[in-house]
Amino acid sequence: MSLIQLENISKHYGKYQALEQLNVQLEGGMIGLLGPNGAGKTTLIRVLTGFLQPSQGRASLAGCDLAQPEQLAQLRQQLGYVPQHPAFYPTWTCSEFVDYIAQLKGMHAATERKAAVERSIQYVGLSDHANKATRQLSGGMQRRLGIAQAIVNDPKVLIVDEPTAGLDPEERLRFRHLLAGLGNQRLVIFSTHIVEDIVQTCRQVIMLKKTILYAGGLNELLEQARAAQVSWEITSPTPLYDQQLAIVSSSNDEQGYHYRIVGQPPAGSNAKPASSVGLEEAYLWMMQQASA
Amino acid sequence: MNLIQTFCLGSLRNISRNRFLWVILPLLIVFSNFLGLNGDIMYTLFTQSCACLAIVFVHESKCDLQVRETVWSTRYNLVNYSIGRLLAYSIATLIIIGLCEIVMFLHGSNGYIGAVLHHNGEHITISMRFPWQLWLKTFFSMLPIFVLLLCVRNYYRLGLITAIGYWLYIFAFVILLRQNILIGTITSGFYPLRWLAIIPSTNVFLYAWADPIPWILPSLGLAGLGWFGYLAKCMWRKTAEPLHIKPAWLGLGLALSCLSLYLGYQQFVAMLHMYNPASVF
Repeated sequence: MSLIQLENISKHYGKYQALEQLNVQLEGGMIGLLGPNGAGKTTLIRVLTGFLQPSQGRASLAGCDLAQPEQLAQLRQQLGYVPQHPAFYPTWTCSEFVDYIAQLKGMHAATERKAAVERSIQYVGLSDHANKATRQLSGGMQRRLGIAQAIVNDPKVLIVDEPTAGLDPEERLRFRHLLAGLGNQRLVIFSTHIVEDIVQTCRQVIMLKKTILYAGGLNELLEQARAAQVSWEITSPTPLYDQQLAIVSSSNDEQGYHYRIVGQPPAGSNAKPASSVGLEEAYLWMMQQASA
Repeated sequence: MNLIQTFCLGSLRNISRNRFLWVILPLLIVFSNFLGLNGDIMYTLFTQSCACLAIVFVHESKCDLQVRETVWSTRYNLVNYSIGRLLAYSIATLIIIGLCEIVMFLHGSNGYIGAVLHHNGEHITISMRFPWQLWLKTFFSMLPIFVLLLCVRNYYRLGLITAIGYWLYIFAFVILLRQNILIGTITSGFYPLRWLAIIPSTNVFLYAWADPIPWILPSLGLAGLGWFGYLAKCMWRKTAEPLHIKPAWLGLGLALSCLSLYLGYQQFVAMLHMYNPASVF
């Protein structure tokens, strides 16, 4: 059964087209939403949470048609959402805020709610800071509090918008681990423009640049990229300054300058096909295809 | 009902922790004591203290705007949210009036406050222990302001200018000068803005001791018109914000608000003929 279904979804703000004819059918699990800045990831997420209405098309999530107010309301009871910039009432404590969101999600029984609040705060490792005002939290802690409020009702669908942007490496790893744990039990849509985060956590990926470039399994995408021979290794005696080349990595030693590029290698170069293809290269390849 | 309660308690929590309020309220009380506790100053204290809430309202709206993506992903809907917030600020208004009353009781002359009115050349001294007219008028005059601020809650600067403008208006023009120089009176002089006198919130200081009943219907009418009008606008513009109200209820609400405003206007005009503000002050 498809847990995410998009049919011809478009969204425009005046003359600006943010999303164009999106068609997707994906199953549950952990789904990575990957695209460059301004690709429409946040817009798509806002459409999926019902925060924005699409200009055209139909979307359904976990079997709920988002165009139907009753079904949208039903979805919201089993939805957890962490926005790109999680914000809180600055004078409230962490547990007060999570408790408030739990009440808004329909958890009325006080004892049950209190236990759920404690559990979710503990899950994200903020137990020691539960009674601290939210304005006193660091950036990473605020992201974790964002997760805590999203999972307090044990949602079937969890949507996380660029949670690792701006975090230090240690906090990023902790976050990935958190999300991977949550993805075992529910549908998690994880938006990011950091390729490494997707590789480490997701089995399915949606690549977006105003329109869908790819939607499906991560391994299948890598297979396609490998078959299309998208990655090349070049060794040059002088540095390459060609702005057209999509250089993935570069290094130099006494033998010369070594490059790994995506796309057509320059004519006359000693380019050799790369033995393996990573998601970063597949991503660049997709972006090149979209720009062509 | 649960959602309304949650939003209301959330707002009350924000109000109770607002630093601005806790700084400005004692200052106002000290200011009032410094000038002496007579009826006019008490009224100053009531209106000024409650007008502070307008600024607190705008500050909370700013926070709401920041957390709205999180809150919208819950069972949030605009009707419950706005009722909850208006309820919270109405309760806060009553609490502040109560606090002012306690201050008056502690520092006034045996708990009484008094005022001297000049009416048809005569000096009339009135003295009251519980000036309920002032409570009622202050309370109802705040309602349309809160609704107005609710309507502009997504425009922080506009809301802030409105709230500060209202506060300064009361402070500078009405309280310090003790007369309504913008609107003037219904009966004398040329005042292009005098039609504003029908909006109780703009002239609470005039007719301070007059019958408070004519304040109720126009204030409720204005607040209702603003609130139902705002909901109708959201429905018309088809914003993604969930509304959970049927068009028939909106129509009924608008009709009742118009009726309330019309009847209130009649009462207000009748009151103006009885209490000529030019002779009161």
